[in-house]
Amino acid sequence: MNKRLYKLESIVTGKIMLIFTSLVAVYMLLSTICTVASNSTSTDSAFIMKTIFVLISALIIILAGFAMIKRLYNLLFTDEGLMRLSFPVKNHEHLNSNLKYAATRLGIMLIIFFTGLSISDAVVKNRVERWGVGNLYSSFLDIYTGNGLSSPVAKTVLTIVILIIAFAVIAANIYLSFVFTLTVSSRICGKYNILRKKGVIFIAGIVMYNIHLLIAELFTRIEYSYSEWLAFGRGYDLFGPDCTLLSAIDRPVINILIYGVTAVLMYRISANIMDKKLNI
Amino acid sequence: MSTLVECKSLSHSYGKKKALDDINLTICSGRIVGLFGPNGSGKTTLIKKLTGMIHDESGSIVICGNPVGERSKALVSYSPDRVVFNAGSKVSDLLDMYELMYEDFDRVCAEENLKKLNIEKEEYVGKLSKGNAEKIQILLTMSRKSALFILDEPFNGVDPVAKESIIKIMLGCVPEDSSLLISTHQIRDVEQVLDEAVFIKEGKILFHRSVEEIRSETGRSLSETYMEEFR
Amino acid sequence: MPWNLDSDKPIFIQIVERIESDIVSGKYAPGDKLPTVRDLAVEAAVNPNTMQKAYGELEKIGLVYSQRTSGRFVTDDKSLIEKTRKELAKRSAAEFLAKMKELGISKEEAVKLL
Repeated sequence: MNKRLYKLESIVTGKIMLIFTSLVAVYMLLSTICTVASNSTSTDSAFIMKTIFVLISALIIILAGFAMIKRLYNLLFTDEGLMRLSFPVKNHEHLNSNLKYAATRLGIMLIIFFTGLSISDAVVKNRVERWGVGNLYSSFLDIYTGNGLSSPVAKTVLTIVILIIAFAVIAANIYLSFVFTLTVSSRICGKYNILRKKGVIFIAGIVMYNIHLLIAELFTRIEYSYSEWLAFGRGYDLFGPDCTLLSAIDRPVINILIYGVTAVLMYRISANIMDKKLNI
Repeated sequence: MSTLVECKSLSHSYGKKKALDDINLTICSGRIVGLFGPNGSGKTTLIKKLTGMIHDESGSIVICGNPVGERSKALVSYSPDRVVFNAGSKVSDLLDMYELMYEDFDRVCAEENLKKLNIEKEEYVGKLSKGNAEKIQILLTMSRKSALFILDEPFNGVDPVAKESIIKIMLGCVPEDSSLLISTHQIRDVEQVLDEAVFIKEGKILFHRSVEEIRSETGRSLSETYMEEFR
Repeated sequence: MPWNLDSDKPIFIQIVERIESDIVSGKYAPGDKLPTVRDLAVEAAVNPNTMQKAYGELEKIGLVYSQRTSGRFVTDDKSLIEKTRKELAKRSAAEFLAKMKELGISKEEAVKLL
């Protein structure tokens, strides 16, 4: 039966996610075409095109994330939940299916987004500051090669992989913070049978607080994870001769671990509430 | 006649307010049972317990040998006390969803009944009248071959003609060995249909008896009995 | 149309009376096949178990007989139908007289009225 639920989730969320994904793709194409067209004239317009592309794509991806969260909100706080929770599956499967499709769909969008960045990087070459993964690669390669360490390519790839993992963990942590907020407040509303309709205000308060927290956190989180590698221009030296174990297991890794563990914890608690404590 | 549902010393409270207080209830197979009581007497809470919408466990519920969970949910067909479908989905989407999620869903039967009710499959749920939306919900609920059907307030806001067609759908669809639990305030409309009646007051079961017995012993209809008990 | 039944009295007795009068009036001819329990229950908007019980009662009287595979049929015994007709007539006459008595009209006066 779980497979059927996954299929249903995929059908139900498919349409809106397809729209979001194609929007990102269309923006990617548009910005690439415009960048190419502006190739011979000015570097300013290429820069503006790229900035607009990044901003709009980021907005679309955030909206897509909210659309996925909305599915869970509907399950826990609207009448639709009475129908969906009657399905013959364990309650936490609803959460799992939502996470699965949020991860894959948002992942696809991010890949398209970064591909777009890399393409325009390749097109404009050195005229405009480059933001794509390719740029990340070459700047790390510079750092490692400059240090004169062995196998700079392996280290660069490893560093970029760790960066991507850090990004994914942070994104998962943010998403699960919302899931956690929703399940815990549903539990509070259900336990005392209060604010079920007006619960929206209550939830909105908590969510607003979280958004505030997350936006503030987002920058510090990304900064933490990047700063050690990027801002100080050292590169992540896991295996180099001048690396001590202590400095290798640095703040970034500990941060990733903390965000990873709290994300898993929030998931476990949410799944437990859904299976054993949910009152709709 | 075998036991279909067995509730033992079932209690539930919202904070300090007791919604259910030590309920013992047995429903046998092949019966149509009415659940009656004033507003706030605990009918919906009892139904939500049976359907697994409420979890704070105290007391036990066994449905066909299963505790409430994904296995019992496969055996119970439930229609909540209001229309729960997303206004943006088409009637045919709902059919697809039920067919996908419930193995015992009889699509042919559902489509036949839709035709009888003159409801277009391509219509959006949000555009249907309240009565028609309610009819579709009952129809989908009744189109499964479940062991237990639970209808919470099936006549909410529907006109007398719609009421009649809902009753006919109900009677036409219940398999012989399955039971039907109806909670409603419209006693007069369902009393000819019932086998048994359960009266519930302030979270306690007042009585649970055969309807024909009440008629032949007291010479009163069920609605008169209700008025007397709760006046 | 759902049948117009009285909720104060046991439903199954009313159903039996209703089918009896349908047979006597010729709506179901002798030897005719009767609708299934389910169909008739849906038509009348009554509980299938009650309808089953009513059919059982009719079988006991002998007005209806069932063949295991093909369903239920009205009896071919015309004298039994005739007997039922008289009984029903007697019953409604008695009801009529009781009503008249309530109104304070004697038997002779009632006959005159007719």
